Amino acid sequence: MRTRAAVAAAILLLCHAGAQALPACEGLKVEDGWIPQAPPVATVMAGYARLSNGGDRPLHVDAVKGADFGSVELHQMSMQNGMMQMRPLRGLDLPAHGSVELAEGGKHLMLLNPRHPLQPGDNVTLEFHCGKQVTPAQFAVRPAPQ
Amino acid sequence: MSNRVLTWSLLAAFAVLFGIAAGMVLLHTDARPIRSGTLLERPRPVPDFALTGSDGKPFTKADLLGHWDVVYVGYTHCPDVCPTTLALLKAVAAGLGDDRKRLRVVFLSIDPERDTPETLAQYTHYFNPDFLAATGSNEQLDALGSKLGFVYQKVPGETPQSYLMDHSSALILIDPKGEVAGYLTPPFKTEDLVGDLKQLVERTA
Repeated sequence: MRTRAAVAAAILLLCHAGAQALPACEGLKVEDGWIPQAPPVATVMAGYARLSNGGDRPLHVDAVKGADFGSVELHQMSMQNGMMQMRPLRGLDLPAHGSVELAEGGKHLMLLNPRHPLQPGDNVTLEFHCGKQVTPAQFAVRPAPQ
Repeated sequence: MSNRVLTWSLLAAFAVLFGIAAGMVLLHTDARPIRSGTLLERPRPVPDFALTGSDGKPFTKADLLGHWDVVYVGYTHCPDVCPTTLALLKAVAAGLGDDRKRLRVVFLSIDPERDTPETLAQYTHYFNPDFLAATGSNEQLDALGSKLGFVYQKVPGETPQSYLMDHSSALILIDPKGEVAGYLTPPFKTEDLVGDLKQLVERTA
């Protein structure tokens, strides 16, 4: 039992060290990250934020991950001929000194299968991956706007 | 005035009148704009239908009679626009004050595979315990969609369970006779919806 706990702790430490070892996405800033509170029965939530690239080179965010969710996808909401359509995105492109807004009714994060209930006041960390670089960002859970 | 001038004047007058009449016919549309959408000049009857309500009981045309209804077509595996719209409708209901008793919000799920009545009840009541929800088989939804004027489409995802649904964005307005009275279309503004719905509800009070 003790050995198993020690192995688990070691694996956790290693994973943690692994994540820490990755350098941050160069120039990437993730600001005003927030998650609207969703009905407890909801298996999907949305994440919004403003991403900016302060660097001189274009950035490509190819994945977003978060330990509090089963998986995270990037989606684009749009209205076509009166139809609301949601489509997965293959990452986000940020030109040099450019920015991308993740907002309601547009590009957003789809947070699938929350591992525990999220209440206003909770904070979760989401990791933005750009190839071998990763930038963690805080997202605050807030009541849904009206 | 000579006869000739009189004839020409009459012809000119007829021509003008004909022009106006033709214009009225040509420009006549069967819809009237309101701030938050369009009203049909002639409400469209809805035939009988049978869906399943979020309480597990049948949800039929009888549930639409005697009050106004705002029907929102969506699904619970929709992280962005559906909760945003339901939160908006919560604010609209609050803004209607006493008039909200004469109007019901119905969340119509077009994702019966994943949205069970229980899920729908919990999801919808989170926004407002007075909101109703219903769903049905794809055949039932297709039949109702052609009458209410909504469409939807399943879009495959990476796994069989992670598919997405495209769905009509308009809110469907049903009058107390259970007829389609019009459509409320995005971008939605709470104050416009409250203003228009108050007027409609009070007109038929």
